[in-house]
Amino acid sequence: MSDERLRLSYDRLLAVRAAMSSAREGCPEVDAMLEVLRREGTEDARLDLLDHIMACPFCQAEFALLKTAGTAQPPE
Amino acid sequence: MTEPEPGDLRDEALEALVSRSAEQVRRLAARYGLEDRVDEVFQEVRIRLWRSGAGHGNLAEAPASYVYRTALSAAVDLLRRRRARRETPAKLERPSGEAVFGEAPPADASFEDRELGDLIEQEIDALAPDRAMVVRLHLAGYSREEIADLLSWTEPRTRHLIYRGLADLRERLRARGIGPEGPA
Repeated sequence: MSDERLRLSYDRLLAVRAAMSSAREGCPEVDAMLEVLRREGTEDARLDLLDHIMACPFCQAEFALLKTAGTAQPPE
Repeated sequence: MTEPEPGDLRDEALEALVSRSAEQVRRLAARYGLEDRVDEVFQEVRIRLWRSGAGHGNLAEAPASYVYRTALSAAVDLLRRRRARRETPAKLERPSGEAVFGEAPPADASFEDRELGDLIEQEIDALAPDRAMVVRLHLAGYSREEIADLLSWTEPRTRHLIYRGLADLRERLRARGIGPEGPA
C-alpha cells in the first residue's frame, strides 16, 4: 500500500476519532508537550508522550501549532 | 511601566516584525481550526514586545529569537486557556486536506475506509515501540529530518526505523488481506 494511501486512511481514522469524542482526559498537559519539543526528559518518556500525541487528533494539532510557533522564521 | 494605549501598539516596525513571523503560524492555525484565537495570540505578542521595550525605538535591538520565544509563550497560553474552557476546534482539517472533522464526511469515506483505518491502527500498535513511533510521525506528515530532530536520533537510525517500520506495517497488512491497492 502506498504512503499516500496509508496517510489518507490514518487521517480519516483520526478525523472519525475526533468526531466521536472530544474528551481530553488522557491528554498530556501543554507543558509536557513543550518538554518534548525541547527534548527534555528521558527518551522513553518522550516516546510515550509522542505516541499519544500522534494518535490523538487534538494533541496532534496543538503540538503542530507549538512546534511551528517556536520555529517560524520570517522571510529574509 | 504604564500599560500601552491601543495606538502605541501600531508601531509600524513592530507590526512588520510580528506580521512576518506570524504568517506561518496563521496558516497552520487555520488548518487546525485555531484561527478564531490566533489574533489573540499576536495581540499578546505585540503587548509583550511593547513591554520589553521593542515599541520604544529599541526594536532593532530585539533579537529575532526573542520574537519567536514570545510567540511560543503566547501560543502556550492560548492552548491552556482553550483547555481550561474545554474548547475544541469547530473544524479540524487533517494534514491530507481530505479528512475534516466538523464537516460532512466525504462521499467516498465508506465503512470500508473506516475499517481500514482501524486495521492500520491495530497493526501500528503491534509494531516495536520505536518503529510504531516513527510510523505515526511519518503518517502525520513529519519529515525524516523533523523526526530525527524531535527524537534526538541520528539521520541513519531514523531512516532505518522509518523504512523497517513501514515494511513491517505493509507486511502485517498483507497478512490480513490488504494489498498494495487496499482491501481485496
